[in-house]
Amino acid sequence: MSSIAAFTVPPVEKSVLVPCDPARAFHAFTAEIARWWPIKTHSVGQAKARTITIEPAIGGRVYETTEDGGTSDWGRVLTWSPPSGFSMTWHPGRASDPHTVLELSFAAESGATRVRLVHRGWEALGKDAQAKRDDYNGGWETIIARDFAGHFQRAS
Amino acid sequence: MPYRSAILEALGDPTRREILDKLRAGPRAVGEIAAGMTISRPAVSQHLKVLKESGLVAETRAGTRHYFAIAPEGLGELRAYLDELWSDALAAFARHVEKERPS
Repeated sequence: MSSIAAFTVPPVEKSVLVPCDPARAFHAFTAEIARWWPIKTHSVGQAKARTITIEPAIGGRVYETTEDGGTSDWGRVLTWSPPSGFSMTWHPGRASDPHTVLELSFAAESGATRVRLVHRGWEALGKDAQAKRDDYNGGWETIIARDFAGHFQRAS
Repeated sequence: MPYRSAILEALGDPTRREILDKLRAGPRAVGEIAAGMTISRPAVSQHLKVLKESGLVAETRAGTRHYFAIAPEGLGELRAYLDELWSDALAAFARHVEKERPS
């Protein structure tokens, strides 16, 4: 029980070391996101999703485009400081509120770049939950959660 | 297995977090949970229902009394899902950078 110290959802923190300088890592993460993001599974349109765009400025849209040319917002750029980092709201497949916040930082480390990701603000999703429920359930995070749950059930 | 959206919704309400805090000390009956709270007992029952449906709280019965207790695996599932989501994305990003590395 000691691992459950407080009933807030702590931020998810992840990092990865990539063999390039921070400027290259920042560019690869943002401008080239459509070339590496696992779009078939991690998108609103799933198999119909074609590309992802991060507009490189504060207030810029982050969205996916589907094969029929339609778009689906994932969030808005909150801060934009290449090559050290950026942050954005995160509400893929849902209305812009409530939203969580994604923060990315890129720092030189031993001739490579440490990319850190912090995803926080999960509590916000519960506010006005009744009104947002239908909207949230359409989100692809829920789709993944369902698949993941299925995996767990098979494994156990 | 509850969907994580239900867990997130359950945790999003400050009253429900207050209830969970009370349950950290051990199982409690509805009356004990409601004591000292500003909301009515039926309102507490309603919050407990949401918490139960999310998988964060379990209900047990002892004779005619109902007790509510934390089910810690609920939060563990949520963490596992979020970890998986971002691990997948960052791994894909690292593969892309490796592949595009100038030789």
